Amino acid sequence: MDKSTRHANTPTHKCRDIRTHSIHTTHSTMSSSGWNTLESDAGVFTELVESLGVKSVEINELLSLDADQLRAVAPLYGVIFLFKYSHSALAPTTPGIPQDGSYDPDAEHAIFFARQKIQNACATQAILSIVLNRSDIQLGSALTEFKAFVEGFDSELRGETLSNSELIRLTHNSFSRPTPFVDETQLQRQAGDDDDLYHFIAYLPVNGTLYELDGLQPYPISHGACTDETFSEKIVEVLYRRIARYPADEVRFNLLAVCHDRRELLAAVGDTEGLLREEEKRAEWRRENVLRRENFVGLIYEVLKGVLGHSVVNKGGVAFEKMISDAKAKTQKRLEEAQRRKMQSNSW
Amino acid sequence: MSDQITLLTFKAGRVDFNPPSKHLKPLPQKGKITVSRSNDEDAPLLSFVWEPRGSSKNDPSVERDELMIFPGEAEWLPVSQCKTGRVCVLKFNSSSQRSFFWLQDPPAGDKLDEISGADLKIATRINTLLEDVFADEVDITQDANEAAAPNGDDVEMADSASPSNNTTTQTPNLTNLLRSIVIPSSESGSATNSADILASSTPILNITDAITPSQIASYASSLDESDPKLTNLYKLLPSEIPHNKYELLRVLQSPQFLQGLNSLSSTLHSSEGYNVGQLVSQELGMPYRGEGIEGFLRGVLAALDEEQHPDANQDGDAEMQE
Repeated sequence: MDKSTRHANTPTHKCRDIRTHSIHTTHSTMSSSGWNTLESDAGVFTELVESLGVKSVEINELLSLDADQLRAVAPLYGVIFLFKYSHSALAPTTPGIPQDGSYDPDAEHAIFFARQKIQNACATQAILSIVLNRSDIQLGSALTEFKAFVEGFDSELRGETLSNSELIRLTHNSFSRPTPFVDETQLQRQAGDDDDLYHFIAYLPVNGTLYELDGLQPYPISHGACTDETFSEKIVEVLYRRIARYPADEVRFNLLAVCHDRRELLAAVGDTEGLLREEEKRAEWRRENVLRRENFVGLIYEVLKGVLGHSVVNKGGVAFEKMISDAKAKTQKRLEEAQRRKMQSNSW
Repeated sequence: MSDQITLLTFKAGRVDFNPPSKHLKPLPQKGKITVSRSNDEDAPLLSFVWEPRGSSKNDPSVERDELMIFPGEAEWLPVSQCKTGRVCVLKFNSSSQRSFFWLQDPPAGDKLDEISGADLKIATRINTLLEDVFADEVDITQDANEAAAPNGDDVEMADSASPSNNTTTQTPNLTNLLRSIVIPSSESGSATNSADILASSTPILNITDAITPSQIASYASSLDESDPKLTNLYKLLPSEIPHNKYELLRVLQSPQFLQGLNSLSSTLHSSEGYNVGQLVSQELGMPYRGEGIEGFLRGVLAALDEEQHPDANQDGDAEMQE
């Protein structure tokens, strides 16, 4: 089995094909909201945070809410809790009194907390909420500058500044799927998300307190005393309480751990096997990110031509027409199914 | 009801029709239509009832349907454009209401799928009554039933136990009927022959409805290592991906590639006034054959044709790029 060769860590946005490139740039200049949606994937977020200049940090998905699992990825800088909900009635924010914990308005200036201004930016914002609050992470020059720049701002202004940051926005967007044309919000919705909404919330211990940083809330939320050592235990309790508030089948949760680059830790203790596994994981992430940046239009065109030549046209003249009419029938059927399902779910 | 005078009965099934879809869907349940009027001469209303019969009577989801029709309000038309089934429509003149049915009486002769002479007789009779409920009562139900002597091979409907109280009904092969009414058949080469009522203008919403990802993978898999077509495909892979068949297949089966198919499909389909198809065909250097996914696929076909017959005269390629 071939392994992809190792590559430099900097993501290069190479456009494979002049044709796909020109379609892509047409899209970027026309985009209005400015921030594209990202796939919620540990590999995407890890490369994103690296591209922002942060050193030695990776993001891993945790498959269960378990203190041991959290301890296993120590040093743990914080966690990002991801909600995926399909009905706006379940939106996790209600301004006013937080459902758990307490508002800490004073913390607004002591820590980095920014109001969320743009829905599509929420993943990046959650990641920044963690890395910008850790003194033990090397931010790189761009983010160090950014942090200093917004030091004295209130959370509203910090949020504005973040959403206006060209560097952060462009880096964020470089991880989104290229859509070949025009109104990308409409296209991305049609691409099959059926109105799922995402929300990201960051949790980490800062200054001896466990904070919940939710850009849709007016202030940071405190969950009481907490240190790096007790974080794994406490966060599990907090998150269990949170999950219990929602009907199980209507909201999906994901947990992402922001932790130290595991390759460095494994290399330091001489765990060659573990290191090998980590390298494989990274290679897989890299490969997927490379594929994510492609719109594949050129490849699609060639393979479709090949399939037509190979298995349609050689069957005689009407075969193509039959393929077209069969395709229409399939589309028709799917539309009816969707219609039927929509009618059934109208009990909302 | 004892004060109703039955004028006409015949066996018929219902056909689903839900605008704006132009799609006709015959329902398999056995039924019959009874056309009757009140005994009272002051009530010139025609009662048009569809109800289940035989085993379909046991199905609680199947309901009797009654329409009261004033003279001149409606007409009964065989759908003659439908060459693959005996479909008729009760069409109301002053509203858009239409009820479709398919005839379940054994057809005269051996033409299972065509409106027969007996069918037309029924139609004429119904229309006469729809104009004038008191029109001469000629009992033609005998005619309709006698027209087809039950013969040897019966094709029973899938959901029926053999009903003892029913004369055996030779119904057209149901699967064939369902399939052929629903889609304009292109096998006879007469795709343009189908009714306006039947779907002919459905757009294709996804490229994968025409060519599936597994067809794509099979095709790539079938290519020989030395085939230049394979080398061309390698050239279109992202630069970091190694050029071999294994990696190519991995890419073609990746969620990202599938997402690419979805994205391109969305783009082509929802042009929203931009001539996206034209742009895409320009970008790819392929002949332009119209908008939408259908136009795109036709363009790909035209490009293939050019490749296979490079010297043939091409006409109508005003937008063709080099």
